[in-house]
Amino acid sequence: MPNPSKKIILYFPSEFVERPLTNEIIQKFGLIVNIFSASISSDERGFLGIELSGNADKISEAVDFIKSQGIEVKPLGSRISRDEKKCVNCGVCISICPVNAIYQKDFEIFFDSEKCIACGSCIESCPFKAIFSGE
Amino acid sequence: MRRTFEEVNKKISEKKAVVVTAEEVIERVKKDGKEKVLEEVDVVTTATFGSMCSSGAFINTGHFAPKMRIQKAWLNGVQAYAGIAAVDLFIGATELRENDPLNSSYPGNFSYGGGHVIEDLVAGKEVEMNAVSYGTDCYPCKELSKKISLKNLRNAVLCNPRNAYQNYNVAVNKSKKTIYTYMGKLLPNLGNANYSSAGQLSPLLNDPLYEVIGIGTRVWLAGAQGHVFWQGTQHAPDAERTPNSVPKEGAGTLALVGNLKEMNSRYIRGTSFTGYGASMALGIGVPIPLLNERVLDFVSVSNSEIFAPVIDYSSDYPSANEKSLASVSYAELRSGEIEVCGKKISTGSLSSYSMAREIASLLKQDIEEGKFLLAEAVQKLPSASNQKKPGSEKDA
Ligand code: SF4
Ligand code: SF4
Repeated sequence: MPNPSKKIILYFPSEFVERPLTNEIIQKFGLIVNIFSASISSDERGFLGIELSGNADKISEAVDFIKSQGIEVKPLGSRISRDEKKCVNCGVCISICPVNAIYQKDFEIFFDSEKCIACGSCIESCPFKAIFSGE
Repeated sequence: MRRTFEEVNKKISEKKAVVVTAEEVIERVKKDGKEKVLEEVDVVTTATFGSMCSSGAFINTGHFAPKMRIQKAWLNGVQAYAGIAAVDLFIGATELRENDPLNSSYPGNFSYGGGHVIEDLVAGKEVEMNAVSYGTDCYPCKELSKKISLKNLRNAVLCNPRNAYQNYNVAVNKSKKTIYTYMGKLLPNLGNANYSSAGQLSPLLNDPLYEVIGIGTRVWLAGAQGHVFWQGTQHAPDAERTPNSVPKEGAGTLALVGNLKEMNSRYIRGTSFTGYGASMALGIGVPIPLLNERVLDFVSVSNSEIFAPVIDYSSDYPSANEKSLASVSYAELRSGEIEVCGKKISTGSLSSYSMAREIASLLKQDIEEGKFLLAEAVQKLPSASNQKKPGSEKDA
């Protein structure tokens, strides 16, 4: 049986950016940490996509530890779509996106699927429930 | 006085009125000069679309056999207030489902509330009504479960105590954890800033001292023709203002009424704010006739001349200790980034400028086609210094 693994996305404010968090996780919990995406958005919020593999209990302990550091943790979701009938092009989802994958052009909202890390943050921020994961 | 309401309405009836939106008028003045615009344009249309708490609908279900004096009622599980008369109910926009998990699993979804019930009714969907009573000699029925739909209701009137806030806070979060508010999700350490006004298109920002818009003014309300029936609750005209009279904070509000049966569900929608609750988004358009030069000066206001206060919603707002961290213009807000406390913050708008534009154009078209006549106010709204400032009253 392969080792259990979990892909998560971490969001952290700028002061965490320089912190060697992955080393801490490796040392504290004996997990293998694989970073699959990392970025700092223009407003200096950072996000990190990591895959944790190893003991399942240790994985959940590690996730709790990360959360206790004031870092937001989300499981990696699937593709993000927008229901154009429901969307009112308000733009409140734009400022939430950690990787600036949402932009407004001529007052219409667009998602850049190249940039999107499917964190799902925009889903809960949309008052019109216009964003969903999946096709 | 350049033109009167009567003259404007005569032109509208003859389909000869010249109408521009509050966005177009800015360009027109720049290009043609004030005098020419004042000469040529009769009406300027303003609009806004966004979540507006303090909204709801009175419905009269009509009587069923046997008759009932409804004591408590639920529409799709959302309680409607029944303490009005036998079959009159009021469904409020922010009321939640009876069994909603609320914030028990924080942050809650609040996926369905009174605003969604109203949207479903306007969209022509059937809504499940459950009602209970104690039974009287004249109204014996004690329990009722029935599907209702808008067309079968005897009356349905949208009646909103407070809409169209003249201006509004920009919400930020200074704390170290994410917070969920009626201004949306706010990221820690000034991670984002949410605002909620159509700025230069917004009705009361184009009539800052309430000289044209007043009680009786006919408005475009989610596609129907409604009216201003009073100043909105929390109307606070003595707000701080810029030299051109535009308030730098909340200030004026409107109470609006209109026939729900004539509305379009594109412009009246239930909304859900994660971790906060449910509300209703509403589209409103208000025409302003160019009565004189002063009115033109006011409607020519642009985003760079309108300012909103940046308020911390993690501590200052909840503790009723609101102090402005910065005053930013709508031009800055619309650019996608503002600077607060030396930090650049990306902005998000809760109100939809694109929908506001659409509504301003629809209203313009209705007026051009002679379908929308203007109604002059029968009474003015309290304006600056007519009323003492009742303190800081800007809760949602
Ligand atoms: S928050 Fe929702 S409605 Fe607003 S632009 Fe984003 S997807 Fe559209
Ligand atoms: S899911 Fe939404 S918030 Fe997350 S990266 Fe994609 S577009 Fe941005």
